[in-house]
This record gives sequence, C-alpha cells and structure tokens, in this order.
Amino acid sequence: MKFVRAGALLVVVVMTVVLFIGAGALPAIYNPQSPASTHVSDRYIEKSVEETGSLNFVTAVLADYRGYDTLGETTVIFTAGLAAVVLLRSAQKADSRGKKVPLAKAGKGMSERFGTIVLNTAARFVIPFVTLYGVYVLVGGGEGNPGGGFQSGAVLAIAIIISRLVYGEGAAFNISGDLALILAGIGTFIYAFVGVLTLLWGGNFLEYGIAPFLMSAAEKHSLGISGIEIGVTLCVMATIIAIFDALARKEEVS
Amino acid sequence: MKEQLPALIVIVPLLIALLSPLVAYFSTRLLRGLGLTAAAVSFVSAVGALGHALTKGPWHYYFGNWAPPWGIEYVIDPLSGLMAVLVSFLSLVVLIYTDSFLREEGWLKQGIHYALYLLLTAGLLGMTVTGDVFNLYVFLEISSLSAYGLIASGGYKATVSAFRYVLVGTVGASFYLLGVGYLYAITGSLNMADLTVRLQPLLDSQAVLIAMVLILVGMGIKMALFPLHGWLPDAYTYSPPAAIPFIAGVMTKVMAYVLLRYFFFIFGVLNGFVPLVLEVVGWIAALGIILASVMAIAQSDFRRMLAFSSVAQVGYIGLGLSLGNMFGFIGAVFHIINHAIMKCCLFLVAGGVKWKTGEHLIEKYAEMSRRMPLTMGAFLLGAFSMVGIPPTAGFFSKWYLILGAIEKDLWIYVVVIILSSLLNAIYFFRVIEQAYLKKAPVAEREKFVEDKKPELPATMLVPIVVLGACILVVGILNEPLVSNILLMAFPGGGL
Amino acid sequence: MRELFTEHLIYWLILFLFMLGPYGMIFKKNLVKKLMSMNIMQVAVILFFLALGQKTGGTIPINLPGLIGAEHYINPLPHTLMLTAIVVSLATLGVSLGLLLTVQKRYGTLEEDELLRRMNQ
Repeated sequence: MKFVRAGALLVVVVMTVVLFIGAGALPAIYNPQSPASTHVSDRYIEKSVEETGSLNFVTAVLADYRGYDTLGETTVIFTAGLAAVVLLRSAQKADSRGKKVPLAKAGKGMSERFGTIVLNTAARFVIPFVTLYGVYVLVGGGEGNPGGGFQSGAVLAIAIIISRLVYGEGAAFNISGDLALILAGIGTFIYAFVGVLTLLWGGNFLEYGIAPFLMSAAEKHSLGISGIEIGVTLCVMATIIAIFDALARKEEVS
Repeated sequence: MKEQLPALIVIVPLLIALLSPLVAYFSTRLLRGLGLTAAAVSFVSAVGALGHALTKGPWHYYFGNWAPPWGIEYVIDPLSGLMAVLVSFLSLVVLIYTDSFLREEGWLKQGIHYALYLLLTAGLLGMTVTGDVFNLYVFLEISSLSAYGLIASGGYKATVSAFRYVLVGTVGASFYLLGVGYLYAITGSLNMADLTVRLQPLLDSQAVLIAMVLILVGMGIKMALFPLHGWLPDAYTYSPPAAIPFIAGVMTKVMAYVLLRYFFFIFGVLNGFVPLVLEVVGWIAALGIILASVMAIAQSDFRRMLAFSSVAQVGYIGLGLSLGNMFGFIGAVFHIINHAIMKCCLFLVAGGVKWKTGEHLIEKYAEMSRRMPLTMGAFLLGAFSMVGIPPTAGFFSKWYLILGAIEKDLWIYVVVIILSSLLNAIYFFRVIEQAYLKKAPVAEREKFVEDKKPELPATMLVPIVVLGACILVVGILNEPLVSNILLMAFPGGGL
Repeated sequence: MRELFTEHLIYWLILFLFMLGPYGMIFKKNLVKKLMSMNIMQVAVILFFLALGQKTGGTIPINLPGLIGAEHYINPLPHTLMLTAIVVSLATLGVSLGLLLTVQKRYGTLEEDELLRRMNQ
C-alpha cells in the first residue's frame, strides 16, 4: 500500500514538472500579439455590435456566434437537475420503506422554527424586490440589452426558496418539485425551439437572421437572444428549485 | 429539410429528452412512442448523412450560419457518419429493450429515465459529429452527467461507484479541457479543421506535446484505457440493467473515436512528437490487454467479467491507434464497431438472464441454454466474436490489427493479440460450459421444465436477437464495409 | 527574471493549483475533501483560460462609445467558454453532493476506509 502511494505521488510530481516545462512554451500572457488574441477574437470585438446587435461581446459570443454551445450548457443544468432528483428521490423511497438510516436531526420542524413574525414580515418585503430584480437582470441587465439569463434564473429561484423556507411547504408563492422539473425541461425546450423555428423558416439551426420579420438584422439577432435568454432563465430557476425541493423534502421525511 | 440532416441527428433526441418529464406526467405510453420515434429519426438522419458523405464528400453544417472558426460546425465525414450511425442504432435497440424494466415505475422515474437516456444519446452523437473541440467538451459533459445519473439510479452500491466515476470522469474532462486550452493558447482557434492547418508549423513545440498528453490522459480516463480504468468495473457492475448495455457498449467507444480523431486527423500520425506518444500508448495498451484479460478470468459475476473484458477490448483500440498506419486505423475503427455491438449484446443477455432468474453469478448459469435458447444463442455469437472465431465480426478487426502490426514489424503485438484471444476463450468458455454442458440442480430444474412462458418478453428478445445477428452480418459483410466505408474514412480518403 | 514573472509565472501557479486536484483526490481519505480537490482542479482550468484572454491595454469586452478596434478590448472568447465551464462544474458539483448525501444516509460515513468496510459487510 505504501508502495502504491509513493508511486502515485511520483506520478503527480512528474506530471507537475512536465506541465511546468510545457508552460514555458506557451505564448507570454498579456501579449496583444499572441495567437489567442489575434486569430478569432478580432471579429467578435469589431463586428458583434453590427452583426448581433449586442453591446456586450461576451453575450454576443455566448448567445449568438457560439449559441449552440450555450444550448448544451443549459442542457447540462437540466441534466444535473434530473440526476440530482433521481438520486435524492430514490434515497427517500428506501427510507420510507423503513430502512434504518443514521441522519442528523437538524432541520426538523423547519416551518415552526422559522415562522416568526419578524421573518414573515421581512419575507413579505424582500420577495417582491428579489423577483423584480431577477426580471430586471433578464430584460435590462446586459448593458441595456438582453442577456444574463443564468443570473436572472438564480435570483428568481432565490425568491421562491426564501418563500419556501419562511412559509414552509404550503407557501402560496411556491413551485413544487415535480412541476419544477417539468418547467426546467420546458425552459431548455424554449431555447431549442428558437432553433427549431429558424429551421422551419428555412435557415440553419439558431440562425436568428432568417426570421421573417420587418426588422434590421441586428434587431432580429437581439430578438433571438432575448428568446433564448427566457428559456435559460426558466431552466436555471426551475432546476435550482427542483434540487432544493429534493433536498428539503428529505429533511421533512425524517 | 434535407440540408438540415446533420443537425437533426442530435437535435431530435435532445428535444424529446427536454420534454420527457412533461410528457411522462400525462402519459408514459406516449413518452415511450416519442422516445422511440426520436431515436429512429436520429438513426435515419445519421444513415442519410453518412450516405451523403460517402457519395458527395464531407458535409459541413454551420450552426447559426456563422462560418468557422467563428461559429460551431458539424462535420459529417465517413468516419463521424459511421460512428453516428452506430451510436444511434444501438441507442434505438437498447431503448426498445428498456421498457420491461421500467413498466412498473412511477411517471417521474420513467420520465427521468427516458430524459437521461436520450440526453446520453444526444451527448454521444454530438461528440461524434462535431467539428469544434470545445463543443465536444460540452457534449462530453452532457453525456457524462446523464451517465452518472443513470448509473446512480441502480441502488446504494451504485451511488458509491457513481461517485467514484464522477470524480475520475471529471478529472478526465478537466485534463481534456486543459489540453484544449494549450491548443487554444498556441493557435487561437477551436475549430478542428482550422486547428489542423494552424498546428502544422508548431508541431515541434513542447506545448503541443503537453496538449497531446493531456488530451490522451483525459480521454484515456474516459475510455478506461489501462491503467486509467479503475472506475469502470464497479460502475458497470452496479448499474441498473436498463441503462448499462448502452453505456458499456457505446460510451467508451465514442471516447476512443475522439482520440482517433485527434491523432489521425488533427495532429497527424507522422508529425512531430506524435510517433513517440503513440509508441508509449501501444506498450501500455498491450500490457492492459493481457492484464485485464487475466483479471476477467478471476471474476465470478458475469457483468464484472464483461467489464474487465471491456478494458481489454479498449486496449485493442488503443493498439490500433498506436500503430498509426492504415491497417491499424481500419482495425481500430472496425473494433470500435464490433466491440460496441457485441458488448451491448452481451450486456443485453446479462440483463435478460437477470430479468428471468434474478442472477448475475456465472455459476448460476447452469443449463441456461435450455431455459433461454435464443438468448444464449446470441450470447454464443457474442462470445465467439470476442474470442475472434472466423465468421463473426471479432475475427476481422483482430485480423487487420495483426496486419498493421506485421507491417510495422512489431511481432510482439501479434503475440499479445493471439495470447489475449486465448485468454478470452478461457473466460468465455467458463460461461459456455455452465450454460450448455452443466446440469442444473434437480430442484431448480423442475421449476423451469414446468415453466411454459416464453423465455423473455418480445421487446427484450428482439433486440438481443437483432444484435446477435448483427455480429454475424458485420462479420460476413466485412469486405464491403472495409473497402467502401473504412478506407474512405482514412485521412486522405483511402488508397 | 522580470519577464519570467510577468509572462509565465501565472501559468505555473495555475498548473500547480491544477495538480493539487489529483494530489488531493489520491491522498485525502474523506470523500468531501476529494470532491473539493476535484473542484479546485476545475477552477484551475477556468483560471487558465481567463489568463489567456488578457491583453495589455485592453478593457472589459463591452462596447464603449468612441473606443473602436480589437486592441482596446480583451478577448471575449475565453470568458464565454468559461461561463460554460463554470456552469458545468456547478452541475457536476451538484450531482456529486447529491450522491454524497445518499452515501452518508445509507452508510453513515464519508471516510473512505470506513465506507469500504461497511459496504463489504
């Protein structure tokens, strides 16, 4: 066993040394003439305002030039939500069958502990503002034009989680776990559906410029980006709630 | 719509996967129909795209109509088209098979299973047809995450092995991504075709060597190339039988395809440090083939035996990669196809036996040939193909590997391939002996002689028989397959 | 010497961080610590890409009125790619924490040796 550990340590050290030597051959950092800064990126910087209507170059690349990657990214979130829910739910099923499980008793009786008048009042004030802020990030967050679906989704999810923590499972402002999972799928589907629409209009997948509206090309791209950002927001929000629900429900079972 | 085929291969399973929880809520039967339709559409699109690539040359599809290297493109050449056909075909076959295992579950479980399964399919298909190295990473993560989810749904032991798989798999993905980072730093591009051009003057740089090693280690972990295979046996053993045939059959093979793509197409097998790296890969692969085969002999659980045999078979693909010549390439790609089909078939058999008798231990397979004649017939074909007995497909890929090794005067590899075939024969013969020659205990025997029910439901039996037949068909049609497709797939378009 | 620090030191620091990941995963026995090592590794890759995006004299990649030309803005592509990588690492972390919770519930421990002992009982 010692032998194996020593061998593993050796491999790690050798790998580190090799990587260090290899790093010497990389272009110097901060150099404006390095290949990374000159080959592909120039077009993103110089043309994106004109071609995509987005003032933020990162949004332009994320949602338009490499929009297909972002569809994959949103799908990754949805996949993680599915995986987490299937894991945590199957664990609960085993519990309810009466298997003995050591579990810390924290979190028991959550709603009684948190349901004080201070919290209730505070939550009533906080939740609308958090929700409003989430929507603001979605529609106006990216430097005066669309963008920020991921952040917006996270903020909106927090509004619902606060409500859930304070008022318990019966909160009026709540989305149940199953519904959240379905919504997450629909959110990502909205994103993909924008692509399907462009297919139906005769363009390539996610080719926003093909839309048969009377607008300039940049406006069409802006519209397309807004469409997918709504999908992203819904997916991120619903996935976070679904995972939270799967976790919280476990504590309620015990 | 015809010009959109490359996108449809991936998009259709993805769309249905996204809607799965919603559809499952209303009707699980509708979900099943939609899932099968999606897999079938994907398969048909892949066949169409492959046909186009064979007759009219590589097909480039630009997402959002942004020309590469600024946008993302899909490239269907004979190699990626063939892989897409393979993946979508096996996905469809295994999807038919899963129904019996899922029928008893609630809507949520079924919805999640279909969603994860179709996401896995879409992720693997996306990896095969993409022409962008970062897009490959994104789809790698989609497929990995859905595989973690599917494996983890197999009970408590599966969660521990799934956790180990998450750790190791993420290390693999991080290595790969760092390798991409090195390539991006020295070329400024992420598009495969563009990378190929821009790497040409840089191939002697140490940074390329490091990038190569990083990508090799990353994908080596993901494809369970010895000695990076530690995660695989547990993950395969404890997974639910509804998902594992597809994961075991296809996932490691797609990772091997990625390595072929990098070394034969992007770096070029004769350039710079590549021959040196490939030589090391060859020796490690040869060692892995022998050691993993020996480990497989020591197993008493059928699935675990198959898992170790997977590690050995992946070694063959590594060997073909390391040869770096045309025969090596053909042998490697042919073995990817064969091994995907036969490992999938064998895991379907394992799942079928489990469904019927609830057993996975080899010693419980006694007289199985009378209880489940068709299933065991498919098993026999799979086992013969694994060993490499002539009319089955497995013989021909080994044949090309041996030809490649002789061409390079590496006789030691020939010895390794023949020796490992003998080892394969030993561990498969143990199962064959149990199933065909051993008599079952009297008590059990009475039970199954009485049993007049068909051996398996049709939805399980048909996929098993189809894949068994495929092993034979691919073996018999090896000549047209090699000369019409594999030679076209070789960089430079054949002879 | 100065060039060394300004041009390549950051790569070495990042790669050191990167290799801390495999080290921690091999030598730490607690599963949560292994998970943290995994995350450190992912963060190192993210930092590596972000370092590639920097340019002397470049500002944030948002169009500013009157500032035209690629040399005035840092490279937006690595930032975009890493947004994806961050989301991926978040997703992996979420799934593995879910797995750990399940393991903890079933076996009551997250120490590897103890876990293996209890699994084999």
